[in-house]
Amino acid sequence: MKALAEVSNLTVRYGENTAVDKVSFNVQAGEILAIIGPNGSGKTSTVECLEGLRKPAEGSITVLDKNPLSKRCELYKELGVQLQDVSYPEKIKVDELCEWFASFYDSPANYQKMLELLDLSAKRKRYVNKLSGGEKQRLSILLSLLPRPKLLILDELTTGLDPEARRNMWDSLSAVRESGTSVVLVSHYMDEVEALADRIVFMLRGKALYTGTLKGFRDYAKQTLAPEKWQDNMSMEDIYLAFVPKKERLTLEAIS
Amino acid sequence: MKTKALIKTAKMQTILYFREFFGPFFSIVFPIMMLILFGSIYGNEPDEWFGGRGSMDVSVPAYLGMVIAVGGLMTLPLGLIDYQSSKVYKRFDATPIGKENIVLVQIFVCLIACIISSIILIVAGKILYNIHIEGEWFVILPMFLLSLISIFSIGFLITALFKNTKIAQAASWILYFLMLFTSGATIPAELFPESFKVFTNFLPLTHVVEVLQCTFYGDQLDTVGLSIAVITAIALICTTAGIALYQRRNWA
Repeated sequence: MKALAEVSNLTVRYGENTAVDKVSFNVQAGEILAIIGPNGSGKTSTVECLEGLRKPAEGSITVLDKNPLSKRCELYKELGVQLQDVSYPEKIKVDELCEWFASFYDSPANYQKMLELLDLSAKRKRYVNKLSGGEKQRLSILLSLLPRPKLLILDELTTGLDPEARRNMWDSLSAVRESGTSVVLVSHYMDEVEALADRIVFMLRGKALYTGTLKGFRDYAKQTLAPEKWQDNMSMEDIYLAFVPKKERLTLEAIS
Repeated sequence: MKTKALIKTAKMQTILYFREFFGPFFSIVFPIMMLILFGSIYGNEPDEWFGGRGSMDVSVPAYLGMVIAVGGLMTLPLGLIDYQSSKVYKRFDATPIGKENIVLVQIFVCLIACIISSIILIVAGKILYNIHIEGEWFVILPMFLLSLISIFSIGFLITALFKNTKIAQAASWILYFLMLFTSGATIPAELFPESFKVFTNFLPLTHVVEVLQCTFYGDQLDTVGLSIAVITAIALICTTAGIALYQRRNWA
């Protein structure tokens, strides 16, 4: 089956620093692909290249048969994104923002219904900058679904949401996948990855160390980790932490 | 889709423009306040000091310079800077409309707001003080538009030059207030000492006020030929440089 997105030897540099180093993976139709890794491992730089928002130093990317840099406007008719660290105009209300974004698409999804499903209908006349963190997150997910996307890219989907809202979001995401949309999910939460992802890309220091299924990741870890680090009953989070270099912890002794 | 999206964007930007205090107050309310304040003090009787014209005949085209300065040096650059620093453009870049169209619509809405503010000021001057517009509209309008584009291009260039929000804001504020009080837009240039005029002649808004007053008086344009050349050159250089700098910018 032809991949919806294909990333080949992607390299991103910031000055002398190589943030993403020859990363390759693809996104298959109907799957949820999770990109995991610690802060600074190059996850966001990678998805920003997929989204056409950042120019790679090297490598090639095709998303929905288009070059995301040169065909960005065309691409966004079928691509939904939820970005990390962006905001909306000051003094705009929730329903105004939804209506504005809906005008960008020929046949947008019904945002009124989505406001209800995401428990935002009572906030529709509220200014966006007055929403709580979780409400803003849900609104940004709503906006990402407006184009009825074939591919959805979610960068830290559930950051800022309480446990119940996170679980609701997982259900919503599963429903989105069942409707035929493929998803690229950047996440720090291993329980989320285990619950949702079909495959993962594990990134560390700009490199994709592993690409494949979750079960395959356990096998990869068993073979790669030093024997004293491996235990058969390790959770996904334990395995993840075993790969990530330990940082010095803040202690009261260190402060004094 | 694109036309619908652009119309909707223009409508939303207009709503957002009027939700801010600064733009509508300083481009519509403040010039009218100045008109009423100084009009009630000096009236609009012909005066030798103003070459036989009334105080308001001279002041209204100068206040148009103030309206243009508010739009071009404050409202526009502060709006663009705000969208850049809070990464609003980045979010719109992840939609079919793209950031370029949002920037163009922002400029368009500010230009239209400036034109409407100018019309309101002229109508208020006519109703309240029966100002005399001796020039021809087919001369006044192109010179007004040239002035508008010239000052707006300066604001545009500021936002392209300085990626640091605070520096860009400071540059806008300094340029605005410096030109507002020394170009003849608020205080009549006739009151400035000759030595001070040497300095004010370096300010673009001084030339804008001179051109607007000339066209309102119905004088020959060649009497302000240098000023027309200056504001034309500013418009061309600042617009070209601004576009070039924006194209090189990393928006991510």
